[in-house]
Amino acid sequence: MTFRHRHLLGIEPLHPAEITNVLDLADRYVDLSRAPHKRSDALAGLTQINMFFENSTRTQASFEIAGKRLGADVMNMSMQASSIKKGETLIDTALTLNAMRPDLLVVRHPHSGAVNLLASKVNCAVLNAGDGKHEHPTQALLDALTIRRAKGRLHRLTIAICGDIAHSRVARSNLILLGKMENRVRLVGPPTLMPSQIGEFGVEVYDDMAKGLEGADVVMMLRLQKERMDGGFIPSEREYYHRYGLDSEKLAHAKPDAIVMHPGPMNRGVEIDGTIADDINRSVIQEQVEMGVAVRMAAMDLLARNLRSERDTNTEGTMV
Amino acid sequence: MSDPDTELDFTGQPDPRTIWVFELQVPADELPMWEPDGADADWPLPGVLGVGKLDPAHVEVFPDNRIAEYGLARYLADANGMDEAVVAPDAAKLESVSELVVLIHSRALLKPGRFAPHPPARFIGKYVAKGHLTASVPLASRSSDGVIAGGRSTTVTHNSFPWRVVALSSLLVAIFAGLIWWLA
Repeated sequence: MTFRHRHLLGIEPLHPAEITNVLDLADRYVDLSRAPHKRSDALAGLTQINMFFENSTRTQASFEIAGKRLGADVMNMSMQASSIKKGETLIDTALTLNAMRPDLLVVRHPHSGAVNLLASKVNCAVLNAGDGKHEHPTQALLDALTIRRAKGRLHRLTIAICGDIAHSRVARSNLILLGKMENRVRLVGPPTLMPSQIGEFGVEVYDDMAKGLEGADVVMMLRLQKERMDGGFIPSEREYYHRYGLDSEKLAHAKPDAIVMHPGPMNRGVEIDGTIADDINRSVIQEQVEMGVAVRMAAMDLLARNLRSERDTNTEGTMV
Repeated sequence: MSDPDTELDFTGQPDPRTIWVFELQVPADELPMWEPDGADADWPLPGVLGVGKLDPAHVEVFPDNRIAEYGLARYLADANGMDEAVVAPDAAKLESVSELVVLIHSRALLKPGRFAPHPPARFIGKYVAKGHLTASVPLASRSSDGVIAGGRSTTVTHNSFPWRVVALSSLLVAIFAGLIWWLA
């Protein structure tokens, strides 16, 4: 199975065939996760450290469950409450971690590029669990798996990504992935929440929900990231919901079998109506959570195979 | 802010931790020639920086795009612990560095001297780690003298004289003597 990477830092370096390979393996891990005995030994003997410089209960739990299902020794480090508060630099943190000899390092960091920097300083496989506004590769992969399972394919679909695009690493990773898989991607949201360099992505941009959702197969809503906003991006949440919140009236513009997605956590009544979010005929939000565990199992399994292979090669080299 | 006239001077001491930033205006594909890994006698970097010798273990040379997302200013402050108050005003200058970035850590400089960079090297700035300004004051307690200050113990010790046993024995002897006297 081809996946020639030491780290999973973003979607950008992945070839479409590698994305397909991750999703195929994740499909098998969905079956394992649904079985009564949910254990594999793919990561047996390996140490996984989840290092979160930003709070994220959901993503951290998903990585923890994924690691434990594959038999890894999993340790969680909440860096917000740790040495980073005592003035330790990122490089000191990397060197300290290196000395603990982990095999897999799962990192979330508020600054774009910080995970890439850590990856360049440690001797293990690093998974980016979200860095600033840069990338969130496992979220894009789990979204892709959810779409592929719901629609039966992951190409030639019309996918509308709606809401706070400017502050979203999820949007960026999804744009790259869905573009690589030859889908038609639309971005829908207020101009104040569109990144300035959006033209580089070659996507259609709308500031009107009705037009943006017209004929869409997939409607992906994004969380309004108020914590990353330092100015007046929207007049009010009430106004935002009126114009960009997904309700049944706006959803009617999409295809009748269009699915509704949201990476969570949701602001009900801000970017999505609660009844749409809970509609089991349209919403696949809970499936996304389930696919998250399977995709993270697949990603860690593939990275661990490469790591073991690299170590075997080095050992053979030493023995010779 | 440091004095521009002395920014290129170095003491040859590792502390305070200091990083000198230079730009190398050469094509990115020349990176292997300038990298410290495997540096030998032909390593051209010390020459263009005008220094006699550098410890390559404490020198970084990388293309500007390697930390493009993170940013050079943040790399100096957050990742390497340089004083943010000094780095922040230079943020725009640091982000404009192109081609190859060179970082010389103070531990790379083995004796006092002064940089004399010449093309293709260009000096960008000198940054020092934020120092610990808390003075060390001797503590005024007995424990600081190396003596463990003891308090009065309230614990009953097992080595104290056995008064209860003595009292009980005396009582028994008195009863026995009384009994003998009564029988007599």
